[in-house]
Amino acid sequence: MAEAAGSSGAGGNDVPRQPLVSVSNADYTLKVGSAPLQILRNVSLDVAAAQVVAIVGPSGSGKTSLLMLLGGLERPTSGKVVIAGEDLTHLSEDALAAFRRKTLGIVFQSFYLIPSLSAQDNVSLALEIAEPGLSLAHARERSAAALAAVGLGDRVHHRPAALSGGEQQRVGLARAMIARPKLLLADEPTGNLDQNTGARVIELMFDLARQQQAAVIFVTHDPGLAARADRVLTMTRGELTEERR
Amino acid sequence: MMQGAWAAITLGLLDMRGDIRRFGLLVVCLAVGTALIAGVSSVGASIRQAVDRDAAVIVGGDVELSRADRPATPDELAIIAGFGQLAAVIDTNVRAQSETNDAFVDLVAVGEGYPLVGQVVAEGLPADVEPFAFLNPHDGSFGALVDPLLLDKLGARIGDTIQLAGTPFEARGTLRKLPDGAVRGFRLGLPALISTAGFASLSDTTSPLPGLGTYYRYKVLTENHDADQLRADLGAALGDTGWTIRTPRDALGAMVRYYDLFMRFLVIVGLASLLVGGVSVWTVVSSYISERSTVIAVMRSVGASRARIFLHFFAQVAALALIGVGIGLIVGAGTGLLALPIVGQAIGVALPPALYLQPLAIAGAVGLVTAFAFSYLPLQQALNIQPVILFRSRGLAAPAFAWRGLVTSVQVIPVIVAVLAFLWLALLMTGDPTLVGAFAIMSVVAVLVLRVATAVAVGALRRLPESANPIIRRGLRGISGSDSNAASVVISIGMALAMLIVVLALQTNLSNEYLGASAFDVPTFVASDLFSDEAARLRELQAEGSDITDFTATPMLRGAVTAVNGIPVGALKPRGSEALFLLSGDIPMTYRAELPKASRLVEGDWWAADYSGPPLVSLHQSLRAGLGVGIGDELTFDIFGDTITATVANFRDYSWQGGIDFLVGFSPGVLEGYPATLLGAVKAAPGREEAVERSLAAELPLVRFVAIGETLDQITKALGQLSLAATAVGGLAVGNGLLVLIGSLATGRQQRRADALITKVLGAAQIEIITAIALQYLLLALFAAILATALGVAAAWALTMALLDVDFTVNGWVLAIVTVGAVAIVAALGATTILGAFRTAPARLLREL
Repeated sequence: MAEAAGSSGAGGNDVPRQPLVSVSNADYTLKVGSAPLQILRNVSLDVAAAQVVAIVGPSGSGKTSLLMLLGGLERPTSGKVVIAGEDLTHLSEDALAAFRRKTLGIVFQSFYLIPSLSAQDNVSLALEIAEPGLSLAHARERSAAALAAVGLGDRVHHRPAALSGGEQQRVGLARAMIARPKLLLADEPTGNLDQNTGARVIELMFDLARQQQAAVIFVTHDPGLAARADRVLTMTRGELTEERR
Repeated sequence: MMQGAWAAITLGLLDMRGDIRRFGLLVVCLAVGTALIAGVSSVGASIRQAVDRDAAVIVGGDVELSRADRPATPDELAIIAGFGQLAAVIDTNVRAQSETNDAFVDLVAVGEGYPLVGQVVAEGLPADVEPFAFLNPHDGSFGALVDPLLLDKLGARIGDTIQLAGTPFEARGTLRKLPDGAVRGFRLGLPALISTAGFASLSDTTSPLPGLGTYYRYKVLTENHDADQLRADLGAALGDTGWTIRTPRDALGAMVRYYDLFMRFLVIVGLASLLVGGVSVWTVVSSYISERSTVIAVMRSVGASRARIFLHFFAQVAALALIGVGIGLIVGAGTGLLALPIVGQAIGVALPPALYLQPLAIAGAVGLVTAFAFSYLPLQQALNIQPVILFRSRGLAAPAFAWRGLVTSVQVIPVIVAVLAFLWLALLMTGDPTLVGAFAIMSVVAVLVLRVATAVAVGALRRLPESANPIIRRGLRGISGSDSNAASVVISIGMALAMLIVVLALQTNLSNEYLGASAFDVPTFVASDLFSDEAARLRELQAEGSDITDFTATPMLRGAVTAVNGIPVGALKPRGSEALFLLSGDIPMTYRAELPKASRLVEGDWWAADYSGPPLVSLHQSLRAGLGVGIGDELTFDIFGDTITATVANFRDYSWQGGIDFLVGFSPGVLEGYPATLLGAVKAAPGREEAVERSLAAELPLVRFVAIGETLDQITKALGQLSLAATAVGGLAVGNGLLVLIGSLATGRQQRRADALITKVLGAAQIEIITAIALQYLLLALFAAILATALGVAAAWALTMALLDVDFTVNGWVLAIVTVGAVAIVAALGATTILGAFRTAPARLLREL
C-alpha cells in the first residue's frame, strides 16, 4: 500500500524524466534499546527541479526523518536516495558535506543562528563555507545583498538576540539560499512564528526559490501553507501518500 | 585559498565574542605555567652563562684542591705546581680579641700568588700589591685585612693591633670582597684576611666550636683553562690521596645547592602548572565544544567539512593560547629581569639583567604545545557532531568520545607528536631525563588511576539501591547517570589537587631543608669547654629570670677515629669536608641519652634513654657518603689512650645550627667515666642580646662566648628569603590549581542549568535542587581528593627522593586544610553554577535550551 501510494504519488503525471530528487523504496529503522523501530516504510518520491512540495502529517509520522534522508543527514536502512544525480546512500561524511555545500539549503524551525555572529556574518559563514576561495569582504558584500533581498538591509550588523523571530527566520532563509542551492529543505519553518509572520516568511521562501529555480521540500502542520505548494504529500506512520489535486 | 582560510579564521574569532569571558581561566592557566617556566629558565640560563664567563674568577683558578686534615706535603705541592700557577688558601674559624671586646672570625689565610685571578677589594690594599706581601710583618707583627663590622665589634681602628687566635695582628685595611668569595658559601663569623705566613704564627688554631674545621685549599691556574682536563690530570698525578678537586662548575654547584634545589622546585612547579593548565584547557575546550554543538551542527548542515570545523575552533584555541603564552612570556621575562640581580647578589655571581631568548622560546613553545595537545582531542570531538541534532535534540552535550576509534586512527598522530615535543622541550629546559621521565610517568599514572577508579566507583554506584531521600537520589543520579561527567570532573579535580599536594609537600621539604626544624630557635651565644660549675651558674642565671631564655649544656670531650670497620684511617678515602674533619685527628665528641630537640633522625633508631649495652654511635648524615658507612658498621676511637669500638646506630642532621654540633655522639654508659667539659648554648631574649653578653662577661669572665646568633640569623634570613620565594611560587601554583578546579565545573554546566531549570519548572524547591547539585560535587570532590592525596604524596615522595635529595616529611595539617578547602570550594561552586538558572525568567532560558 505504502509502496504503491509512494510510487504512484511521487511519480505522478507532472514528473519530468530526470527528477532532482529521487527516493526509491527507502526504509529507515532506528534501534531503540535492542528493539528496532521502523520510522519510514518503503518510501519512494521524485521531485522535479523548481518544484515546491509540502509534507504534512501527524507528529511522529516520519516527516522530519524523511527530510533528514533527503539532506544526507541520515542514511536509509534500505533503498536509495539520489539528489541532483548523486546517490547519497554510500557517500562518505566529507562527500556528504560537499554535497550539502553544492546542492542543499536548510531552514530550521528554531532558526539556529549563531548568537555571537551578526546577521551578516551568519549568512557570510554559509557562503564562505560553500565558496572557500571567497574573501570575507566579498562574502559580506553578497550577504548584505541577500539580507536586503529578505527585507533586512538595515539589520545586517545586528546579532540574533536583537532580532524578532520572523527576522531571525528571514536571516535563516538568506543563509540557506545564499549559495544558490538546487534544493531547499525546511523543517516547520513557521513553527515558531505567528500566522501572519509565518505566511510572510513562506512567501519569501517561495519567491527566492522561484528566482533561483530551486526545488523546495518543506514540512508543515499548517494546511493553509501546505495548500500553497505545487504538491502536498502526507506522511502517516512512515508511509507517504500524495494528495491528488 | 589563502583568502578562504583567512575568512574561516576571522569568522572563527568573531564567533568567540560571546564566550570570551569563559576563556579567562584557560588564558590564566597557560600564562602562569609559561611565566614560571620562562622566569626559571631565564635565571638558570643566566647562571650557566655566568659560570662559563667567570669560571676562573668564581673558583679563584681553573681548579681548586682541598682537604681538611692537613696541608699539602712538599711533594704534593711540587706536583700541583707542575700544572700551572699555584696559590694556597686556608679557611678556618678563630676568636678575635681587642683590649675590650671579642668576636668570632671567619679567617682566610692566603699564600703567595693569591689571587690568581680577580682582585681582593680592600681599602688600604694598593692595587698593584699582592695581599701576601702587603700582610707581611712590619715592626714584628703580621697584618690583617678585616671586615669593617669586625673592627666595629672589636672597637678597633685601622692601625690598631688585634688578637687573632691569640696572636697579635695589625689591622691594615678593611676587607670588602674576596674574588672567590662566592664558592666559600655560607660562613660563620666576620671575615678577616691574613697571609699563610701569618697563619703559621697563630698560637691557638684549635677550633673554637665543634663541627668547624680548618680547610687547606690550593688554587691552580693554567694557560689553556681546560678545567675538566686539569682535574683529571691532577687526580691521576696525586693518586687516591684524599684530595677533593673541584672545577668552577663543581664549586658553583656546591655554592648554589640551595638555589639549585629552588630551581628544581620551580621547574617541577612550572611543569605541573602547565600540566594542570592543560587539564584546564581540556575541560574548558570540551565544555565549550559541547555547548557549541548547535553551532557546529549548523555549520555541518550548510556543508562545512570536518577540516573547516577544525579550522574554525582551532583558530579560537590558538588565539587564546597565543594570548596566554604571550602574557606568560612577558611576565616570566620581566620577573627574570627583576630577579637576576637579586639572585646574583645572593649567590655572589654577577648576573646582569638581560633577556635570554632561547629559554623564552622554549617556554613559549612548551606553553603552545601544551595548549595544542590538550585541545586537539576535544576539537576532534567537535568533528563528530552531526547536523541531525538540529532536527532531533539529543541533549546539549556533544557525543561521547570515541576513544577506540581515535587511538587506532591517524588522528592520534598529532597528539603523539605534541606529547613527544613537550617531553623534548622539557628535556631541553631541565637537562634532566630522570625528572622529565618521572614527571611523564607520574602524570600518566595519575590520569589512569583517576579514570579507572571513577569508572569502578560509578559502576558500583549504579548497582546500589536508590535512596529514599529525593535529594540524595538526585545527587547520586547526577554522578551515575548515563550523561554523567564524573570522569572528567574527577580527573581535573584530582590532577589539580594532586599538583597542589606535590607543590605543598615539596615546598615544606624545601623550607625544612633551608630553615631546619627549629630555625627560630638558634642559640645567641655558644661557649665550648665549660666546666660544670660554670654551667651551673648559667642555669642559675636563667632561673633567676635574667634575659637568658634558654640554656643547654652538652658534654664534650676529644678523641680520634682510628679505624672504620677495622681499616685504619690512613687507608681510607674520605669524601667531603665532614668526613675529612672526622679523620683529621682529635675532634670534639659527645654522649647523649636523648635525641636533641633540634636534630632530626635521618636513618636508624635512637637508643633508649637507659641504654646500657655495647657502645653505639650516632653520626652526622654526611658521613654516610663521606665515609661510605651504614647502620651496623663499626668505628674505632682512641679516647684518652683507650680504644673503643662502637657500632653505628643512626644518622642525624642538625642543619639548623649551621654545623655547630658534634659529628659523633655516643650512647650512654661509654664515655661518662672520662673527663669532659661542656658545650653551652645560650638563648637571649629578643632585643636583649647585648645585655646578656654584658652580664655573661661580668658573671663568667673566664668563659669566651661566641656570638653566633647574628651570623646564623643572617644565614637563616638568606635561606628564609628562598623559603619565602618557594612559598610564594607554591602559592601561585596553588592559586592556579584552584582556578583549574573552578574550571572543571564548566564541564556540563549548561546541561546542569537546563536540568535544574526543568526540575524547578516541574515544581522542585530551589534549595532542594542546589543541595542535590552540591551533594553531587561534594561526593565527586571527596572521591577525587582521596585519590589525589595518595597520588600527590607518592609523587612528592618520589620527586623529593630522586631529585631534590632532601628528607621527606608531610605537613598533614596543611594538606588537610588545602584538601578540605578545595573540596568545599568545588561543592559550593558546583552548586552556584546553576544559580543563573534561577536568576533568569524560566521562559527565556527554556527558549534558549
